[in-house]
Amino acid sequence: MRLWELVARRAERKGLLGACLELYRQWVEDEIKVEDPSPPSSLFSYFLRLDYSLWLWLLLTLSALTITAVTVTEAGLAVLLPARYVLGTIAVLFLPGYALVEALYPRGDELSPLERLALSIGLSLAVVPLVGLVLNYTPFGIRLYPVLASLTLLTDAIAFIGAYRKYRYVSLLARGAKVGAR
Amino acid sequence: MERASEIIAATLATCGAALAAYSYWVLGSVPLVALGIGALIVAASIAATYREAPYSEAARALLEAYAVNVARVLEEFGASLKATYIKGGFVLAPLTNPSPDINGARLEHLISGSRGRYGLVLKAPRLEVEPGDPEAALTRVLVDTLGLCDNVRVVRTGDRVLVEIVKPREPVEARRFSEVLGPLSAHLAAAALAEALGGALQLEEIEREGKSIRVSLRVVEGVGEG
Repeated sequence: MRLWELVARRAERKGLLGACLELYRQWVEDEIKVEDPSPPSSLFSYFLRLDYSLWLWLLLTLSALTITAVTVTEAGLAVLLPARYVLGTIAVLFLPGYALVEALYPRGDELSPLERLALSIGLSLAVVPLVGLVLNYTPFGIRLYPVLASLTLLTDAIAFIGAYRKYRYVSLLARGAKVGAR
Repeated sequence: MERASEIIAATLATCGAALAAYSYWVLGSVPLVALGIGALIVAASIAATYREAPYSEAARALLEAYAVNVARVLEEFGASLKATYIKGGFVLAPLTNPSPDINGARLEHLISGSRGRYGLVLKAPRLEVEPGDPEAALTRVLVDTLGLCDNVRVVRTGDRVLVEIVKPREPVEARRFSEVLGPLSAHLAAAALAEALGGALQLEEIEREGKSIRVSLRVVEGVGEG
């Protein structure tokens, strides 16, 4: 049965919001399974399908916003300083580890969301000092822009590796959908 | 693969030793000396790590003989339809179309079935798999224990289980075996999956894509969530 048919049927009794909430609860508690009948079959379509790659786009957006906030506040626009603190904290203490966790555990069911969050923070704390160690022995040194650039590059590169590894599973699902359609 | 890890170990050892020596006598930098020693330790760890489980070569030789023998039996009985894998390590290779019902299959016999629907009952190698995460079970059996492939991916969708076997090392090419039971690594994967999921899986499609084999198995009966 298609999801929207199920929502429509339940909405007659419980209203749209009530039906959605109930179905969401059932999905979280593993009472119902929701499957995509046409998963993306190429890496490009994986990137374009937000239901699969939203995490990647959010990560890239946060990286871009961090760079913007730092650049703008350095140029003298102090009003954005609070945003810089918040984004900087996320970019240093969460994103590198989160990208690494996504690359190391590409299947969604390997870790619970809480485990993912805890590992992301822990791995960020492990990865960021290594970037500092390497930067210390380069001509750039541990300065604002080299740290910003290297952390962003590292995070985004690992995130793309993670996206590719996740896509390998999705392409297997697409293969199954193709076989099932025959 | 084995060669690749040896090259990595040798490179790390050379670079680590050079970095540690240069940093100690020329630069006088303690962190860089530590980094060099760290690289040396990693190189030693890689060199000391078993690439394959002990006796995996012997296991592969036995599996090779098994595949050849089973291929001959299948050839003799004229089996050409895709097999069904049943919990307990049993494999039902249909001899007729339609294939025999697995619910009434007499698995202790070589030939099972009735009323014109017959199948050959084979026993796959006994694989120690624990019920639970099927991908972990397959990785342990195919990658860690037997070294038959580099990686395994498993996804479940609807009534299908899809397995991707990355860079399989097929010790022997037994055509009839592949046709009925799948390539050796896929055969072992299907048998292990039937055991791990606790049900019956029918081999549906085998596709080679680049350096991978993609196997589609249809759930025939009583497979849990795993």
